[in-house]
Amino acid sequence: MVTLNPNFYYVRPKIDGTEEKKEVVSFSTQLVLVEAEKLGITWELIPETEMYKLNWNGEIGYFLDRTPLASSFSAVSTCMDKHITKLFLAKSGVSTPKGYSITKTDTPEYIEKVFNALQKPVVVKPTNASHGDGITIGLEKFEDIMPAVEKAFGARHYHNATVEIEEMFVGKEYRITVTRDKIIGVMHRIPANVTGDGIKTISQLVEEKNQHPFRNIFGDSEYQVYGKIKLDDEAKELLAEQSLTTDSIPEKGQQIFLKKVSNMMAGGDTIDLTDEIHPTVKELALKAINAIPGLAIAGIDFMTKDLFSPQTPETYSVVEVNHNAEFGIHHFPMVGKERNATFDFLQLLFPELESKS
Amino acid sequence: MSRDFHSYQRETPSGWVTYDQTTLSQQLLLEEAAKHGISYSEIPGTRIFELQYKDIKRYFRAQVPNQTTYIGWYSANFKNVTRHMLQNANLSVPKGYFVMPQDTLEDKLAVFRALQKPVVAKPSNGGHGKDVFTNITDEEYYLHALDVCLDSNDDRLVGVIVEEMFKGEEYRILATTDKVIGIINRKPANVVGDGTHTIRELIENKNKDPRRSDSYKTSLITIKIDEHVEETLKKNAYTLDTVPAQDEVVYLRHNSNLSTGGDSIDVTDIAHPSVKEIAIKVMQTIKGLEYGGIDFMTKDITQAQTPDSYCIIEVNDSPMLSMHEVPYMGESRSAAKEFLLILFPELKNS
Repeated sequence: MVTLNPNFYYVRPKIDGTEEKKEVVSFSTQLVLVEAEKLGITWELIPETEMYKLNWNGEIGYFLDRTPLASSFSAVSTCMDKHITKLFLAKSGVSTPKGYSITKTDTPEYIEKVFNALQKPVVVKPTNASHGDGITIGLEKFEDIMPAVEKAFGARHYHNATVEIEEMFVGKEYRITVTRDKIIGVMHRIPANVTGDGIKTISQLVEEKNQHPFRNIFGDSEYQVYGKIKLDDEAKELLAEQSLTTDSIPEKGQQIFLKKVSNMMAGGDTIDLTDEIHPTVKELALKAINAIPGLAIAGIDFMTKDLFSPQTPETYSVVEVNHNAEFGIHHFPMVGKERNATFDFLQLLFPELESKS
Repeated sequence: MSRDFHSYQRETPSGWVTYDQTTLSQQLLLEEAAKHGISYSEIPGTRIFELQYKDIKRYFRAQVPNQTTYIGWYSANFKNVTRHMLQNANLSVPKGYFVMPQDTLEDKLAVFRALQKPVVAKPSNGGHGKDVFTNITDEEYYLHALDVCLDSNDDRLVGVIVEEMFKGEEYRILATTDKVIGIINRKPANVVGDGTHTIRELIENKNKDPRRSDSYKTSLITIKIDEHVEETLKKNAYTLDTVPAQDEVVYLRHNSNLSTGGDSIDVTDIAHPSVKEIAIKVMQTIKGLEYGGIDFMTKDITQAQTPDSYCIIEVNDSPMLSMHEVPYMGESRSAAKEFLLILFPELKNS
């Protein structure tokens, strides 16, 4: 029996017979294995890989990390390049942020030309990194572009690495997990924040919020579904911009943001809104995954000014399509209904599978 | 023959600009498609081609059909994974280990000491023979090879494959999950003497072949005279000015990569049936890889293979099919057509 475990590592056998821990098996992957066992599916990790072989009454299925065997190479390679993803989306009539990809050999003059052609503020990001690595947002001045470009190239050393410079869409961030014909879940992602009660300081509110069970599923482990909010330099800077310190006492109901990016590991929040989205959002999410041939499941980063109204080309933007979907946020929403995303994932491996929950 | 190579473009603020073109292998696929009434276009800026046959649309990128899954690509692209999967299926791979950046000097030396020399070191996800070190016999050169390989990539999955060097002839087998399309014997760059011309002149002559160029727009690549060539000659007490005897074969490099001027000789029809069986088993083992090029070494390709007589070196997801269509010597094989039959099985009924 597999149980959710912060010490579940990918290992590599070494020549002296010992095993070396490589990295922890992602929480989403662990959830898939737990769900598989619940459904009577046995599994094995193919040694020295991140590939799983599953057996359901003699039927064999495979997945790698969180990508099912059904996803094609051309689909995944499309998702791995955020610029190419946007070209596919645009071809299908899905709105994306206007942008250009640049290479290591491009001159500062060319980069300036790109910058001038875009509406400010802009975002600079590696086209092939994940988890927000190397990304800089909200850039208004050209002098800030070159350091951001260097940081983005630094996140990936590939000789043929590219960096995207794109217009920053202003709106709320959602993660829509979707198969080619079904919405699995819609999650509002919110950067780390606290809400005042008129009594406690920001430090106290953070400490209180960090007690939430979802931020402590694995005890003291650094590894959690939701990271704890840290009052680090970034948070303090953001507070200073609002003329606040960690000792300030926000008013009752006042929401104070402590991070710019809505990253769950950096203390973010989630609200499940699957049942509340406007039908046009559902249509667009399905259109987005179907824009990429051969992609079986995806986590779509969807931004919009209003999730509950009809979407028009200007009110929303699809920022990224991730081939490695995340299941943890759907199984453990901070607010709202939980969705059994791992079952839908397993059904891609075994279409005849029936839910037991 | 002049070909109209497709141009890859990217969008800039002043419009679309060409930065690269298709290789001969890709071009052969597009030309073959046209022959079957399949229309094609690149989805602008993506390097992915959309092909349409009747009302069916399918895609390919590089030389990978959309039926090849991400898992198939991963299993072939990461050579440590390939090795492991083949080994599990009782296919012969060279004895070896996977060295990673975090390994200590002691770990690295333990690997070297556990293997029979000479060994080969190569990045676990390289291509085109880049940074492949062969014939390693001493520790100093071994550690140098590791440094170069580890420096070439920073992906967390990437390290160095260190394995025993198999002695035998090198072959490239192009196969699907149920069929061998072609088998090429790969020979290191070489010239054949005529008793009158110097090695330098023979190289120049060989390079005049229109099937050779400096780019992948041909199936054979120009032989470049560099320090490796001079060193190889020196080992046989030759120089570029030596005049080899009539019919004498003079090898100019140790590696048999076509990218450094090697020759491709089709041997499909003389291979023993057991070779084809092994190739198909390899393709079925790498789940989700529908079309691939297997680097196969054997002592004798015409004989029944035994576990000790052959070795699978690696499996390539994007297999440079042009070498089978336009070999240096031997019969041409319909590698492009077989690719299209995978992309559009519907073609079989037409």
